Amino acid sequence: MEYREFITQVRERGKLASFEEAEATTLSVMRALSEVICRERAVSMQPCLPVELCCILELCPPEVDPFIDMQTFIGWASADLDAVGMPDRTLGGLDLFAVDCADEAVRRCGLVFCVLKCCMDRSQQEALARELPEEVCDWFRAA
Amino acid sequence: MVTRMDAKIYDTTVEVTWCAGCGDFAILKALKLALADLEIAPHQVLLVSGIGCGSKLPDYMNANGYMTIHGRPLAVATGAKLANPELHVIVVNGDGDSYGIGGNHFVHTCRRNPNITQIVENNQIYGLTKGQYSPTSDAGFITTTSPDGAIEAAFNPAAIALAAGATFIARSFSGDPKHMAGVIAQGVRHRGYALIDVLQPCVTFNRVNTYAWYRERVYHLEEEEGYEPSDRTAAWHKAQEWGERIPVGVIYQVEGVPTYEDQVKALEGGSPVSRLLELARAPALEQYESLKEQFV
Amino acid sequence: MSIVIGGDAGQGVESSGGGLCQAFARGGLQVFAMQDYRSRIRGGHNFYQIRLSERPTYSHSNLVHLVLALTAETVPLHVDNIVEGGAVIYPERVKVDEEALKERGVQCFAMPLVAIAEEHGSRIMTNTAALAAAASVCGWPLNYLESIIRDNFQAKGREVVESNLAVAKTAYDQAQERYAAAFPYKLKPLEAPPRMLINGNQAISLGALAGGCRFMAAYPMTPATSIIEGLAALPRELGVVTKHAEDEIAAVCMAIGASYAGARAMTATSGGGFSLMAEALGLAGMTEVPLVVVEAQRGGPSTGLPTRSEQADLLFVINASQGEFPRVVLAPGTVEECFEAGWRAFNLAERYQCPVIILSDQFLASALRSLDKGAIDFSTVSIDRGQLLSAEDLERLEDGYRRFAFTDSGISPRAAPGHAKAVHAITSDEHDEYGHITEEITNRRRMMDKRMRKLAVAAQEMRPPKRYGPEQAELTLVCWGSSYGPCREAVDLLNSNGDSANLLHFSDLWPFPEDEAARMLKACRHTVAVEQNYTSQLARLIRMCTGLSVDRTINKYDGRPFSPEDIVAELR
Repeated sequence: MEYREFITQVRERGKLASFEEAEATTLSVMRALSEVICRERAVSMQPCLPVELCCILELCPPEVDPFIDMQTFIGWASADLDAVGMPDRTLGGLDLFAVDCADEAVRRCGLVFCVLKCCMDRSQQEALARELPEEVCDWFRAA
Repeated sequence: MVTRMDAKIYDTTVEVTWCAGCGDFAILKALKLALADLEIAPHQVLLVSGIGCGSKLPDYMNANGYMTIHGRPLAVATGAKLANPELHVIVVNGDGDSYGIGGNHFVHTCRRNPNITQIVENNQIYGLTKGQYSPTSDAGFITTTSPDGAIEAAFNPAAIALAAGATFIARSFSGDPKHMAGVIAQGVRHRGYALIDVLQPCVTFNRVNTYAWYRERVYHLEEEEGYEPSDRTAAWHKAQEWGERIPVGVIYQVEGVPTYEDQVKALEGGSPVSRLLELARAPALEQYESLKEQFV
Repeated sequence: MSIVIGGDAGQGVESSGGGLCQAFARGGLQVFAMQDYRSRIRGGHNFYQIRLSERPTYSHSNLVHLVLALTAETVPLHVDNIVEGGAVIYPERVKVDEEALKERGVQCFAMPLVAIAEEHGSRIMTNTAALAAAASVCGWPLNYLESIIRDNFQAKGREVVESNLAVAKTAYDQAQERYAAAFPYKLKPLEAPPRMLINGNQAISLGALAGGCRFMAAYPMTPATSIIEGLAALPRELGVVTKHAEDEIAAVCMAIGASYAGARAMTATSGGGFSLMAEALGLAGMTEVPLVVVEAQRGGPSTGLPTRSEQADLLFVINASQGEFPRVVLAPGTVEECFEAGWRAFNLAERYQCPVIILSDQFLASALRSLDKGAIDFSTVSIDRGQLLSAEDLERLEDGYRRFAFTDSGISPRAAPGHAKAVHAITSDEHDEYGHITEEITNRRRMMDKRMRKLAVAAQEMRPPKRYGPEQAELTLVCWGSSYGPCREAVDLLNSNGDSANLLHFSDLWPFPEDEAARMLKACRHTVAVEQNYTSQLARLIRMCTGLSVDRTINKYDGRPFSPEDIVAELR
């Protein structure tokens, strides 16, 4: 699949506002993925993916940190979610819209996983799923 | 990595109020792993925190905990340690709590070298009060209380700790929980005050210092050939390094420096807690009579 | 008889005054000594006022019989108080208006004190010469002063001791020859068992020590500094850990941490330091950690009169910190009461798991009084740790220890951290029985009720005001804290003059002993509140708690404590 095609699919499946937003989300989730997969996995996924996304996966560390869980994973993916609104005149600071951020972040991971799975065959999907932290694995399988 | 004790012993069922993706989750996990690996049981630990998102950590962990007031956990922790040196005292607080309002206690604790570990959840912003800048925010950081960009130069915890005489200075990144667990374990094992400044993204309010931002800059000192944490001059240079490259790992470590408690003569015969238990059983009044002579 | 030693800051007035006191005390006289210092290291006038009597005294007196003027400023300051036939001893170079003094019937005893000192080695011994001259004109045997010189200068070496002894002898003999016959006021040694000369701070420290206090953190602040210094000087085997912290906030937080860990811990400060501690007080109250704080008041507001006395923090101390939580406030009136408060405060703190404040002031903290050794009775001290769970109790705990369990008394069984069955976390946020943060409505109401209930229980052991003087009197002085001594002597003066007076002294101030206070005040004919503050804080507290107003107030806010004569004069 081509890069533009990949992003557009993410956008359409997720009904996201713009190409840029879908792009940012995709890059974030791929970045999160690169934190948890081993080099071998990253290499094996290269033929399936547009080169722009391959580059991100290649950022994977030499040794995977076994303690990265779904919270850290979500952290990477949450980076571009807008969680704040107007200044909070009652409590000070900025008003928070983060209540749905967790769900939204999970949803967006799902979007990217979905399109990713389209690029991969069954055995490749399984191999990837096995390297994902627990709940992230569930999202991937369900996507 | 398998820890010697099952880290689940530290789990509680209390509802966690941190935002999804908050770096504090990883810090909590790393702390549990470190303590489990050191085989320290929950009842042997005293977590002392201040006020802030990260300071809620003791509520989310099965261990003794004291969530105190803003900026003061180091003082409370020091008192507890002097009263009962058997406790493993660990301070957990944020960058504002530790380096801002708590700055005075921070500097003096570095000098004092009590056998206490401090984990600073450094997200370079004030999260609980929803988005103001903090002492570790980089200059130019725009927030509601720094609408034209933060003016002051950022607080440099490693450099100040080094200058003040700290005997263990380390930094980690919450995106690397395994590295964190290792550094925390080292800090707890260290005899003396151990500062572990953990860079952690605030996914809700800090749009600048994100996971990606840290990952691009962070590099592990353990992998730098020839870096000796016992070399104070090298540590000074590493402590100044920020921006393009941010070193994590043990920046400075010196063993064998007596702790504060080691040098308190009044502790030699027992702790305030143990002595009081004895006194409550059998008060030693004859000891006091002789004190009257100084007034005669 | 009263003797004043006056000099510039830096002239060693404290040491001289202290030494002279001891010289008289060792000869069996009862002593009351108070200090009047400026807050400067050098320069500025300081004086030490020593009252001597055969009977126990509770206050200084305005009437002065002998003045040692080490600096010219001393004389005009005290001349109005010098009695007929009294005298001023002064060295060369101190300009004294002899004519003016003689007109008032005051004798001038010029002495070459500096020359005598220099003759034997150094002018630093001028004060020794002055003390010896004073002893001499009073007919006080030299040997007492000599024993003091030996003890006090021992650390400085034999030569220093010998020189001072020589100076003392020379000055004593000279004064004897020239002035003794002319000075009508004499002091005679009495047969008496050795007594202690002790001040309020020292007494509090002894009480705290006996009460099991083994942790003390503080920041130096006049007039509380001598408490930490006294505890730090104790033999290390007693195991009292003291910490001079980086600031008052660190000090009080360290004490709270130590107390939470299971020690008896305290801090000591004055009003400014207590202001800094206000937030931490709430931490202790909210997390139900026992804490003892000594607040030795001084002249305010702000930096105010750092070395002087006042009673203007009463309402502050009762109300300090945001929100509402139980606390106990004790305001001892005498050195004996300071000793008792020292250990009683810890029992109250642990029984009710709350802050206990011992409210003292510069006058009570520093003034020295003779006390029979038996007046400090360690056998009266008890250590009651309230509901602290013992090792056996902890073993018997079932799952889920509740640090803040709801109980009838509001007092929850308390575990110090460290036992496997009592792992728990506490928080300054509102919390449930387990110590977890919660804002739930019902829990909040119950938890506030629980904490405040402890106050009602504590109130049952708060002592009513005590009376001194006849049961029935025309006039009742109403006072608190250190005003006890001057008021007591004022009552004696009034009664001996044919008036009818007594006093009511409050030493337990919070929870306020409302019922007893109301009953006793209603039985008074005419009440006069005597307070060293501007706004009559005790009178206002009485009205707030009982609805009763005192008939009159006497207020003194110049930083100098009441003297019995001041009070009597105000009443005329």
